[in-house]
Amino acid sequence: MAEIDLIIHTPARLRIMSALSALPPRVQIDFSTLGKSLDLTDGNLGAHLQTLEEAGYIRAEKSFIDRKPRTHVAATAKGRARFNEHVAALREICRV
Amino acid sequence: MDKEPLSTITPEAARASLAEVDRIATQIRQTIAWSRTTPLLILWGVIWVIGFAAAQYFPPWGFRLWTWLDIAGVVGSVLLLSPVRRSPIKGINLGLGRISVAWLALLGYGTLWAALLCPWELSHRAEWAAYAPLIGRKIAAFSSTVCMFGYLVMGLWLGRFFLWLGLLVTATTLVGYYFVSDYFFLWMALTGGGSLIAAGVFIRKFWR
Repeated sequence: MAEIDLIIHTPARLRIMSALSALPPRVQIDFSTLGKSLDLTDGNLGAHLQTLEEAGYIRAEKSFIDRKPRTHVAATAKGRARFNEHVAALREICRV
Repeated sequence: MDKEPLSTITPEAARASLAEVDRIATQIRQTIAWSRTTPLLILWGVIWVIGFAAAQYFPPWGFRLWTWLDIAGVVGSVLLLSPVRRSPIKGINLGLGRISVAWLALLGYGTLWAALLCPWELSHRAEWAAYAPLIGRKIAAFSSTVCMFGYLVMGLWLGRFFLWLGLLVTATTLVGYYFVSDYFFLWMALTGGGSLIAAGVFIRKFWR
């Protein structure tokens, strides 16, 4: 039986994982594009990404483009698996 | 402890969460597609404004300019879709995806049909000059509606905005063709080119 993941269950983190899991595997999205798409402030997004990164659900990669720091993030295989399990659990609840 | 039993979440809350998951997944795919599309809309909008305005005020030189504008548009589109350009995503090359190939195919077929439908065999006759403006309008209306058909089909996958844009410019093209024939090219520069530029600016400003 699938289980609800409390790390993902928070509304903001559910939206972050929904966005990252919608991308093909190994594809990374720019931090600011993700924040604008999800309507999250930089601080709020950064805090949630840190939680997800500590859990091993996402991977953040910092680089310099045109001498400006850029952060790209992607869901890990573990993160995708947990997110899929979380979604499966939500579907089970709907069927109850 | 990061797991929770199912019983603590109501079916209504679960349904709302699933709806949010679907909405965000669709939105993020659209954001990526649109971020690649808006520069193209603005580029082709500017090309339409220049090309149609030149056709209105400087015929026949303005008609010949279209060949160079189309080449510039294709080269510009390839550069804008280039993977070396700064992109909101890394790890995938969207530039050579199916949408780009579909547009190139549509451009190729549109050019072929325009060449086939134009009565070139009459071009050596004296009356050709009298018919040239009408033929020019027909080819312009045909090219515009074929291009908008591409937007309409793209709208079926990327969201209704492109579908409505395609229908809107097709409608304004037909209105211009039948009711503003003397100023048709200027009409196309303003409504067709203007719509493409406005759509690109609108998406860039408000859809993030």
